[in-house]
This record gives sequence, C-alpha cells and structure tokens, in this order.
Amino acid sequence: MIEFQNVSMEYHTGTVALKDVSFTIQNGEFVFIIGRSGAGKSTLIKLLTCEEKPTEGQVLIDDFDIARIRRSLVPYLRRNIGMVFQDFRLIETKTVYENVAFAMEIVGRSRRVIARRVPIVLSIVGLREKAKALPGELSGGEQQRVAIARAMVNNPMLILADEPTGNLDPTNSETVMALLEEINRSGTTVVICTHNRELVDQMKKRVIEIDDGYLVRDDAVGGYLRHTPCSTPDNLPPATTTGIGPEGRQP
Amino acid sequence: MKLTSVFLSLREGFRNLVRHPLVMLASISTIALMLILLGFFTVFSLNARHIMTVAGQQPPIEITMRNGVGDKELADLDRYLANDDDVLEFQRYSPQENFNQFVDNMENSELFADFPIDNIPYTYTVQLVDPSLAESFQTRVAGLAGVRKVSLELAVMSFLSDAIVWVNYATLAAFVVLGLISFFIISNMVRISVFARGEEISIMKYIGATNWYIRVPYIIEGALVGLIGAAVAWGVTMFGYDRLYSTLMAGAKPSDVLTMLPTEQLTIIILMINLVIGVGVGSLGSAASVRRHIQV
Repeated sequence: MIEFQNVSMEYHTGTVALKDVSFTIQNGEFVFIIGRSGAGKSTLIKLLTCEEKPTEGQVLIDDFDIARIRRSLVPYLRRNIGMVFQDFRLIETKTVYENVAFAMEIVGRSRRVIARRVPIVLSIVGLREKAKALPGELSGGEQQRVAIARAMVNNPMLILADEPTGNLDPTNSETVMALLEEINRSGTTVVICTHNRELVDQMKKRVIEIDDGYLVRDDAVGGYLRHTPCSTPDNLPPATTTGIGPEGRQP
Repeated sequence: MKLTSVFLSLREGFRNLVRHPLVMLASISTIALMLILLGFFTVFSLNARHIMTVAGQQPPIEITMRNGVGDKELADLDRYLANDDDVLEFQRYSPQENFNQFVDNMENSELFADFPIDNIPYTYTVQLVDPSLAESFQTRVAGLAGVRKVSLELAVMSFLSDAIVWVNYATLAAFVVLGLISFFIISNMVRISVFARGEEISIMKYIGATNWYIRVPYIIEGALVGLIGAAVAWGVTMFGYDRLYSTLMAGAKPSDVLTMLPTEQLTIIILMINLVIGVGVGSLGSAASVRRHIQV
C-alpha cells in the first residue's frame, strides 16, 4: 500500500513542487496520475523511488516511511518497484536478453534462474524472437516492451511508469497499456504518470490529478478532464470528485 | 556480496576497460610513466644507499696496538671483534706486514732496510655494518687491553650517515608526490568513465543496484589499469637498468666501491613497489572518485 499523508515537497531552489498532498493507493490498483507539465507528477514519482524526501508529511510504502529509510536500504526498496520511462532507458550496449537479465543480476539471482525467467518474461511482452537484438535495432514500441519486461522480471509489488507512451504511436501505446493492464491483473500495483488523454479516457481507471502541486482530483474511475463525461460501465461507481478514493476513503 | 555478484563485478570491471580503449590507454600510459619515474628514482636511491654502505664499510677505522703487545691481548681482541654484532669484517696486520706495506709505498725502499721492526705495532682494520656506529665502537674498543689508539674518519662517517638519511627522505617524498599524482590521474580517468556511463549508472540505480554493486567494477577497472601500468613500468625500468648495468659494470669487480646493485637483486623489489603503488593507487583513486560521483 502507498500512502501520501499531507505531503509537501520544496526543492533547495525554493520551488514548491507538492503542497499538502494526501492519497492512498491500495495493493493491486491501477492508477493514472495526470497533470500539466510542472504540476508535480515527476516529484511524486521521485518521492516513491526515494530520489527525494518530503519536506513535510509522510510517504509510506508498505508502512515504510521513506523519509526515514536508511540510504543503504534504498536499493532494496527500489527492487520492489519496476520503473518504466518515456525514453525507455535501456542499456544500448546490451542485448534485449541482457537488459532484462541485468535487472535480475543486480538483485543477485543465479544464472540458472535468470536463464529460466527471462525467456518467459520476453514471451509475455512478445519479444522472445528478438532476445539477441540490441535496443537500437528495435522500434520504439518494442523498446518500451523491453523496458516493461525489465520492470516486471523481478515480480515487483509496484510498477511506476512515467509517460510510458510519450514516444509511441497510438497502436504501440495501446499495446503497452494492454501489457501494463495485464501485469496489473496479476496483482501488481501500477501507477502511470501520463499526458495521454485518449488512453486515460479509454482505460477508465482511477485518476489522480495534480495541479500546481495540489491534488485537485481523485476519481475512482475518471477521464482525463475533470468534467469529461466517461462511459462508466453500470457495475462501477460514477466518477468521484476530489478527495474520494476508490474505496470511498478520505485521502 | 554474493558470489554471482562478485563474478559479475569482475566481468564488468574487465569490460569497462575495453569499452573506452583510448581513455584506458591514456590512463595506463600515464600510470606507467609515473611508475617508471618512480622506479628509476627507487633504483637510484637503492644504488646510492648501496654505494654509501659499501663506502662506509671500507676501512676508515684502524686500531693501533701498543708496541710489544702480548699474544693474549691479541687473541682477546680477535675474539671481541669476532663477537661484536656491529663488526662486519676485520683484518689483523702484523708488524712485518705493516712494515712491508710501508716500504712498498716508499720510493727509496732500500733506505728502510735496517729499520727496527720492533717499533712497528700490530694494527687492525675494521669494517662496520653501519657507519653511524663508528663513534660508539671507538669508545668501546679504546678501553680494551693492549689498544693504543682507535682512529676513524668521523667527518666521512657522518657525511655518509647523513647522506643515507637524506636519500631516504627524498625517496619517501618521491613516493608521496608521484603516488598522489597517480592517484589523481586514476581518479580523473574513473570520473570520465562514470560520466560517460551516467545513463547506465542511473538505470542501475533505478533497478535497485546497491552503491557497492555499482562501485566495485570501477574499483576493479582502476586496479587493472594500475596493474597493467605497473607491469609495463616494471618491464621498462628493469630493461633500462639492465642495459645501464651491462654498460657501466662491464669491467667492475664486486669489491669496488662504486658498484651498482645487480639487476636480479632489484627485480622483485621494483615489481613489488610497482604492484603495491599501481594497484593500490588505482583502486583507491577509483574508489574515491566513484564514491563522490555515484550516490544512490
């Protein structure tokens, strides 16, 4: 479970990126975090990956207060978080297989386990045939699928995706989102920061909107725009307004 | 750190070397040059010490016995000198031997044909282990039965003794200065390496690599550069020294004062110094640089 409790974040430069933000994400949820550029989305991700610490309030990941976590333990926390970036961030000198295996090598998995697990994950993302290719030889969509494979290979509890479809065409974007949804169905929490209005509207998932550092909206099933009429299925609750989480909690 | 991680770190360390061949070559060359300089300085210093020690052991100490000294006193002094740890070697000369040597040095030796040999004393020449012990040796021996005078060239002794101390200081200073230079060169090499692979390092951090997992390959890389530089410097230094030795020592006898140490006597010393400084400075320089630039 991820919990932001009255989190404010001010950089050394004096820029206040987050102001009194509170919300909770339960295990297994699929959440979009949306907002304009500079709204505070990236800061939110930095807090979740322990790159930054809140100046006020608490960020709890599975009851661990990241403001108090020892520096030496940060890598171990990150091993439970799979990161997916807009620019893929693959190691250009390593093959697809090596890029995915690298994530397992870092956590100390044996060669035998790596040799068994990596092909399975590459099959899931549909890239088993391209295991020996270098990232430069792949399309943007394929590179992003490698990044997803790398993010999921260690079975993390959370996948954080920062603009995962930012560099992709609509078809590849849909494929990537379908993959992330598939991973979420297996129980992994997925948090996506995005600008992609079509995908957010289409996916009909929980939407948290950040604007100028404030949490301005937390809809259990929302669209990209606050007043966008969503085609909410009958069996789901209608889109909620600011302050109400998916389980009706007050964040 | 798990065994798998150790193996992977070693592999990455080796790969890092080959990944930036020009940077690697520049680093190895600079380290090798530094170590060659250091090697020649060390060789010079060791040879200077060797020459000073040999010169200090030449017999500037002479013990003159009283005229008509008995066999017992001579035997006692022989025993004393033989058991003294400060004495490297000694030689007794009889009045006849001293007379012969004196006559040999004179131009008109026939003038001394009737010289009364009884007026010539027994003498000893003594070589000490360390020239700085001469004064205390003189005090001790002067008080022994039958000894008339212990003469020594104190000025020469004290010069040699001081010179050895200064050569030691100079060697130490060269070690420190050249060591520091090497340290900064390796530090810079690793910094370039870290910046060149900044993206890769940030990916590693996001995936959950520990500081040590990221640092160790760089430390290994630095150590390898130091090791290769040390080996190259050792080869060049020993080759150069051997050529110099062959040229300068072609007609020299081992007993000569101005002799150089044989090449084989320096081989291991220079190798050890190069390895310790090369690998030590290489890995420490890398560790310091990587510690500053990689922070999870």
